[in-house]
Amino acid sequence: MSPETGRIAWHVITAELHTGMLTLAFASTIIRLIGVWVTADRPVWRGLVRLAEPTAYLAGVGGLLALIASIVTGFTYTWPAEVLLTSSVVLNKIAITAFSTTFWLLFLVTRTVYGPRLWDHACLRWAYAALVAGGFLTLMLAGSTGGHLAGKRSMLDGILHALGVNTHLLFTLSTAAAYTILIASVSLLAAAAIRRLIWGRGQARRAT
Amino acid sequence: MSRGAHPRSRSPLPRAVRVVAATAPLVFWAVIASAGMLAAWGLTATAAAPAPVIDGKIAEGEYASHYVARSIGMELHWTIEGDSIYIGLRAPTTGWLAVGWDPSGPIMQGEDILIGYIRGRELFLQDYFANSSVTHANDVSLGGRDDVLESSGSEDEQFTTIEFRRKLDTGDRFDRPITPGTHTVQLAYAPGDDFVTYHGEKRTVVRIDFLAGAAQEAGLFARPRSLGEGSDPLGPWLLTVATGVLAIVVLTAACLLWHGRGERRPLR
Repeated sequence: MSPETGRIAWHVITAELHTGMLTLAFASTIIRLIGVWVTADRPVWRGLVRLAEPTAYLAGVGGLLALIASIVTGFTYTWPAEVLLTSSVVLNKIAITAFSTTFWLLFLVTRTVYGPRLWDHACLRWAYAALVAGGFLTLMLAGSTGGHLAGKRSMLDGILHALGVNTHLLFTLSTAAAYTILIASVSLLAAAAIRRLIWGRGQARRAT
Repeated sequence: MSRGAHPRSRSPLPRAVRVVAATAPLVFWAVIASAGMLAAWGLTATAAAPAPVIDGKIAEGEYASHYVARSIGMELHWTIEGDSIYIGLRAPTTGWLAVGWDPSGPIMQGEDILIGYIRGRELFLQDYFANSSVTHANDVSLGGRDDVLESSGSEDEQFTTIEFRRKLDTGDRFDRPITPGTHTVQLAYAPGDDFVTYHGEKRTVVRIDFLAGAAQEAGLFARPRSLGEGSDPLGPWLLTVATGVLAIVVLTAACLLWHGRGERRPLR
């Protein structure tokens, strides 16, 4: 195998690796989420729910490491930088991958900070589920875009076309839209922080 | 004999006979010369060159025209026969070869591409279309047709040769017709037996008039053109990525901070 062919294979390998592991993390999280309401008294189901939680975490760790490796190999082993940065399809894939990495990183950070107890709190488990859903959705989009770069069609093409999404057009936000989103997000964070502060003081007052 | 009459020499032959006798040699040589010219034309007229044989080998003089891209060591041969064009490619590689023409830009977007490789003595040749500046897809996958009518190839330790035939104008919206005049043609090859390995420096651009048989190396395209006209789109793109990442982080933090009042359920 020539050196050039061998090097690009690393990107393919790491892409397949992170896709598989993160899909397992997503599926395990969904099973654990369903297990909150479906409490069938069947040993198989209870065992599945019990194992799903650590499986999701471990698969998420491995998948995120493979995703980072895939990012590195994608930048270094595929095309030159000047080609990467002038292709709308590649830039879209980089953006989607950045979002996916953020989702999965926060997924792992949340689980690491709160541990399995996060399943005891509705807000936490919904936030956790939202992170894994966002991570999986962006993962699929990144893979679909990668398929286009490889000259192939994607199974998502029909859905994306129906939604009016064209991955070949560079997706950018206007400056106004970007600042609006950022201001709204920071406002929500501030509101949550204030609410938490008030709640914390109330708890302290009740304790005394 | 009466006086005043000039005595005339009398030929023993009638006048008509004398005229014919005098002109006969001229007529004879005229006929001979015409016959000779006709025969000469028949003998020296260029017999219509036989169409190239699509056998995976490019023989000396097989094609009517050829171009050698010395910068990358790749050969392009072609013959136009009726409404078809025969093309032969040869390059110092064991991977894929490609020829494409008439991109609308930027870079190779809109280009009609024929790309192929030999693997295990089998030729894999496909009719592609550059659907973006750096990517290409199979015509069939885009809703078009594979318009290669016949093809063949061969490979040894150093070189790969591919020959194929297709119509000058296929009528496929993902193909570019070959018309009189100059066409921008790209030649490229890569070491991979696939359709996606990057060609790197093994690419060149040529301006070819297929019908006239003229070719001129045009050098590589200029530095890759930016995505859109006018301002650099990288700025808005970076802002979009940063906004998305920050929004995800901030909203997650907000949600986690909010949970302080969430009800507690027994451990499962």
